[in-house]
Amino acid sequence: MTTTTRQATQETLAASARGLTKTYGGGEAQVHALRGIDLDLPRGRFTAIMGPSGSGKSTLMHCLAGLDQAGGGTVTVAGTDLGSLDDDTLTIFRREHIGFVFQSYNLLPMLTAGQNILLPLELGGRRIDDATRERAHALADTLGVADRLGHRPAELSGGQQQRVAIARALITRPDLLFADEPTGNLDSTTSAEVLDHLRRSARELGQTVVMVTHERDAAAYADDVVTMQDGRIA
Amino acid sequence: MTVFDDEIPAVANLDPHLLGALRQAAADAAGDGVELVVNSGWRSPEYQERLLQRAVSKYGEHGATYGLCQTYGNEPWHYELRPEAMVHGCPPMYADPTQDPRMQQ
Repeated sequence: MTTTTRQATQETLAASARGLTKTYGGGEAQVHALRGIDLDLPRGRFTAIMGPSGSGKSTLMHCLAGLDQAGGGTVTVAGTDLGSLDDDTLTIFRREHIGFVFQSYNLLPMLTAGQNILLPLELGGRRIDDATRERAHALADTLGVADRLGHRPAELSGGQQQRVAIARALITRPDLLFADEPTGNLDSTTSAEVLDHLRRSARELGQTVVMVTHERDAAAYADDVVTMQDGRIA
Repeated sequence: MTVFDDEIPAVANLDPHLLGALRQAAADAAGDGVELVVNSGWRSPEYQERLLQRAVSKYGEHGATYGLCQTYGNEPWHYELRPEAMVHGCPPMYADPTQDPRMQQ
């Protein structure tokens, strides 16, 4: 591979993994969660990682997102090898380049929806000016929660909380948005709304989205589907 | 609501000793500029039953009656048949599949 093509590749990829392995426990109790994963995640696409319980899909996401350390192999996000970063640098890197949406929303209960959305910027020490507030409002509007910004999470439905969580994840314009079973606690109608929003963030905002799901219906919203089986891509 | 909201049953029906102590604490806290807020207080037996039913339908605890048990804490959709649960109740959940001895190899 020449230098030129390598640069071109890095420009079109949001993230990639090479030879990724991960083992939990030791001796008799060892679990081989990842057994050598090679994966490219192109920019601006919505990728679903599917597979049964214990297939390694959550572990793969956690390693790609720098939430968990791989046992072997490399993960590159936005051109940076995550293995080259120490803990503090990795934390800052995640905050600036990666957005997360969790199954259980993980909004802070004492903050309003609007404050939750702005939180990643405040934690990053960025000044919240009028333009930023407008952007937060526009995101909330796109996600259909603009009229709920003054409410605390407990006053919102599950679907509304998840849409606030998506707005919070998108506010930093991350290189990668990870969604871990984002519809795991939602009914089918609300799930469809949340999945539609994830698909639209890829199509309309060019956002790279990676979603872990056990549901075939949810994966059907994605541009690409990666299926895991026994720690490998099937 | 606050502990001074007499018209609200969740506050008014609290044990008088508990309510007295709460009001004393709230009054002192107010002096320091802190407002105490009550999220949930006294509940009627009917309301408690409704909450239980709602929790049961949401979390499916009664699945054990049919030998159906949630296997992993991080997979609320994943149930497995454990016939012994009909007698003994469901076994504790594993936090996630990496904790499950059946995944070890």
